[in-house]
This record gives sequence, structure tokens and C-alpha cells, in this order.
Amino acid sequence: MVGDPGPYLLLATILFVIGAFGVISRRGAITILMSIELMLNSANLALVAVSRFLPAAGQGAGIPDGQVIGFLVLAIAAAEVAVGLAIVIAMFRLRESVDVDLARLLRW
Amino acid sequence: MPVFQHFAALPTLVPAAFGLVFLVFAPFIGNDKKWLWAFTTAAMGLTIVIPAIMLAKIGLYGDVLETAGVAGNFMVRTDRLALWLDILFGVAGLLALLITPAYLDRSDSHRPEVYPLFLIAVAGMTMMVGSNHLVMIFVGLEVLSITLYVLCGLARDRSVQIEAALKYFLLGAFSTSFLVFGLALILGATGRLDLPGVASAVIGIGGVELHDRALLLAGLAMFLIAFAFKVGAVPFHFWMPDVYQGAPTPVTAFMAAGTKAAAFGVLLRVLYVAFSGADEIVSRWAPIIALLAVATMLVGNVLALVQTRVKRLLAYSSVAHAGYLLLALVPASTGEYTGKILGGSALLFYLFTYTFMTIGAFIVVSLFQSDREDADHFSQFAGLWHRRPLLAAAMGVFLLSLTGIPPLGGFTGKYVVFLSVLDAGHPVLAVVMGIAAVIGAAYYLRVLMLMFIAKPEEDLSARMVVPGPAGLALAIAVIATFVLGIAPFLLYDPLLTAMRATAF
Repeated sequence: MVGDPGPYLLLATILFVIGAFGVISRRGAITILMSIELMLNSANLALVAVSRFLPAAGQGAGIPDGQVIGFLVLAIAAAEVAVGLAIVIAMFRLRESVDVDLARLLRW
Repeated sequence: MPVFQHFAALPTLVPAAFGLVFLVFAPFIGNDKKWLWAFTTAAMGLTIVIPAIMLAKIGLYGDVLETAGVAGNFMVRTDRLALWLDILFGVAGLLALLITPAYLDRSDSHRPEVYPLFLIAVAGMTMMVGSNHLVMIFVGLEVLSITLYVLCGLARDRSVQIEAALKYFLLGAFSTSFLVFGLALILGATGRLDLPGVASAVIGIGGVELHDRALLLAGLAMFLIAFAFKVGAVPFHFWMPDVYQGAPTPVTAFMAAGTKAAAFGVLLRVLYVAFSGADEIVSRWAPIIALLAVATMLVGNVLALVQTRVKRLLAYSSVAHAGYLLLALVPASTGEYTGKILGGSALLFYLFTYTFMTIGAFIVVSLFQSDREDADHFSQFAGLWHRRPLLAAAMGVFLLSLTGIPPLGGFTGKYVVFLSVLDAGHPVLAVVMGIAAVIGAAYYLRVLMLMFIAKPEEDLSARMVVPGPAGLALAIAVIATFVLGIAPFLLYDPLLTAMRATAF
């Protein structure tokens, strides 16, 4: 490794944990969705950071892989959220609420 | 110098192309959904035939076809392992498609775009297993997952289905973020995301150095968590019964067989190719897989004991079977070539038998509907033998096969997994597997007794009609279950060849 990605990875990990905590503790479907976005974007931060610090094939530092994958993850996350929001809206139409604790027809 | 064989991507391109074209034209077909269904089924047949032809001819190309490379990195790798699994996905999709129209008509939630989505899901699965690159695996997984979120919530006005879709989506997206974070850490540790590159870093050859071992292990752990979610391994199984119960039954059948096969195909390839080179790495993941397998087998089987709905019971049985399948990954940890070959082919063989018996059971369950809802309560199945002897016999075959009674496919599947685990020197794990199978027998037999001995309680089974395509699907599943039980070598020997040729 050229340089130390440690601080960036630490920040990414903290964001990831905050997101995971949000998914577990929140009740609103929209808030959970936002928390998942936070997790995905912390992973993106980690991807971009490590690719900056990895040794390049020739001289110096930085490979493009992580940044390219970051774009892929962004696009896929957008597709995922589009479907997810559609499901949340369908749920709201049925229940007048997006509280996941009210979703009790199926036992957890 | 890399050689690109552009038809290597055919198993993915065919379902993807047909799926997209049909999806675009679905709204113009209007009310006549029969044609769309017929076209989709034909395309699904093609996605079985093409890998089969490629499998017959692949020997001419040295057993590996690779294409879509960037800077010497092949993104698509089609070998015997991938082709066999492609055939499996096609079969799962075809069987699910055969029962879909009648099910949707009965539950009054028929939408034309349903059928192409199955094709796109199959394309995602083939992408997952037909690649040597972690990013392709991620993209394939997302294509599959996003399609399945939609399929789960087909009936937008039905609370149960929307709830299942919401749960599946939230937990699926949650596990996806684990996967992406894991990829970032693996990239940070090795600088590579193609499996051979990661493997060289793990072993320390080929000029790829391992920058940070802790980072690699953390990345592998995140990867395993994500896939433990996808296969429904305890303690990441809790979404599974809810989603399986809430989703439309044909979709459940497709998920139970196809998604599981795809996820296990990926686990097999990634663990075998990338992470089994160095003993110190293997000694980290092998005990975890063994522990997950034991917990999954026992918890899945015990929780299934207390169920009162057949669909939910099959969901818990699906959790338990994920445990048996995980167990087949353990022999690789001996680090020996034979252990890998035996474990891998046992895993693949079990996936095939599991596909036929579980889809078969779900086909029978899909017929139980009244008032647009699933009527899969135990009381509906009581005395099925007296009303519908053929249907009860078919369900009996599937349940006995799931239990693991010879001469059915479920028995030979469990047997090869058992032997491979024993051969790898883990007698304790083999014994636990036996105990779990005995616990499992209890609830399968409970349903069997109910069907064959109890008196009929409700009149649903008397009114039920078995549509032609569903009958055909049932016949295929029954015959395959018997054939795999009586003549397992027909499939097992080619699978051994496939594992040998996959060159780990």
C-alpha cells in the first residue's frame, strides 16, 4: 500500500455501523431505506479510498477499479431504491402508514 | 494472450434478451396473456437447451469459455460448473412458469409483465455463477434480487404479498450493503477483485501481494454474512419463512430452488477458487461454515416442527436444507483435491435433487387456494388421499424425498453429502446431519399421516381442479425425483467431471 487508507476506512466503518443501527432500530420504512443508503455509500467511500492508496501497476499510487465499481454500485442502488419506494408506496396505499411494526400479518 | 470466445455469455444473454424484449412488448399484447406465457415458456426452454448444447461441446474448448475481458481480466467465465447450474435455473424457471398462469388467475392478480421477469431473474442467476469476478457476481445478484422483490409483491392490493415484498426488500438491501462493503475490503487487501487474482494474493504468488491480512478476513466475513442472508442460514434466516409464506406460491417455488442454487454456486466458486489456497485462511472460514451448517440444520428442523401451515413448513424445511448444503462446503477445508471434488459435486447433486422435490411440493401447495387466498393450512390437506389419490401420492413422494427415504432423490442427495463429509474426516458433523434428518422426518411424516390417514375435513380438495400445465410440472418433478434416486450416477458422474474440469 502507498500511504495509509486507515482513517478513510475508519470513517466508512463508522458510517456503516450507524446505518446498520438505523436499519435495526427504526420503524419507518423510509428511514430504514435511508439507513440502507448510508450503508451502501459508506461501502462506496471505502471502495474509492482503498483504490486511491493501492499501488499502481507502473509507478505511484491509485488504481481505477474502486472508482469504477463505485459508479456501478450507485447505479444499482438507484435501481434498488426505485423498486423499494414502489413497494413502500403500495404498502402506504393499503395501510395509510409506512410503519414496519404494523406489518404483522406475517410473524417475524 | 487471452482468447475471447464471445458465445461464452450466451447462457446469460439469451434469457436477458428475451426477458427485455417481452417486457417491452407485454403492455401491447393486451388481454391475451396466453401468448406471452407461451413465448416466455419457449424462451425458458431455450435457456435450458443452450447451456445443454454448450455443455456437450465445451470439451472442444478446453472446458472453459471466457469473454468480456477488460485489461486481461475475464468477466464472464463459462465452465461445466456454470453450465450445469444454468440448466438447473432454467428447469426451476420452467417449472415455476408452468404453474404461474393458473395460480394468478385463481388469486385474480394476473399481470402480463410477470412472465418476462422470470427470464430476467434467470439471467441474473446465470450471471452470478458464470463469472470469475466479484463485481459480476454482485451485479448478477442484484439483477436477481431486484426482480424477485417485484415478483414477491405481484398483487399490489394484497397486504400479505406487499408485506412479504417489503421484508424481502429491506433485508435484501441490508445484506447487499454487507456484500459491497466486503468487496471494498477485499479490494483494499489484495488490489484485485477477480477470483484468480484474489487467490494469488492469498497464496502470495504471481506478483500480487497481500497488503493486509486482517482486511482480507474482514472482507471475507462480510461476504459470508451477505450470502448467509441469501441462502437463509441461521442466524440470518428469520426473513425466509415470512417471505416464502407471503409471496405467490410459484414465485416461492422459484426462489426456494433457483436463488438457493445461485447463492450456493457463488459460495462454491468463491470459497474454492479464491480462498482455499492458504491453510491459514481456510482455517478461518471452514469452522464458521461448519458452525453455520450445524445451527441451520438443527434450528430449521426444530422450528418446522411447530408449524401449522404447509407453505410455512416448507419454508422452514428450506432453511434446514440450506444447512445440509452448507455442510457440503466443509470438505473443501481439508485443502485436498479429492475433498474439494467430492464436496463440490455432492453440493451440486443435492441442489438438483432439492430443486425437483421442493418445487414439486410447492406445486401441490399452489393448487390449494380459496377465495383468492392461499389455503395451505394443515386441515386443508387432511384426507387428501381419499379425495385426490394422485395428488396425495405426488405430494407423498416429495415429502418422503425431502425426508431422505430411499429410493428417492432426497436420499441419494443426503447420502453423497454425508459421504463427502465423512471422507473429509468430520464424523461429528456427519452424525449431526443424521440427527437433524431424523428430527426433520417427524414433521414430514406428520403431513403424510394427515394426508393418508386422517378423514377429510374441508371440501376444498374436492372442488380443486388440476390444470394441465401444473399436472405436467408435477409429472416432471415426480419422475426426476425417482430417476435421481434410482440412477443417481446419470447425474453424479457428469457433475464429478464438471468439478474436476473446473480447475480449482
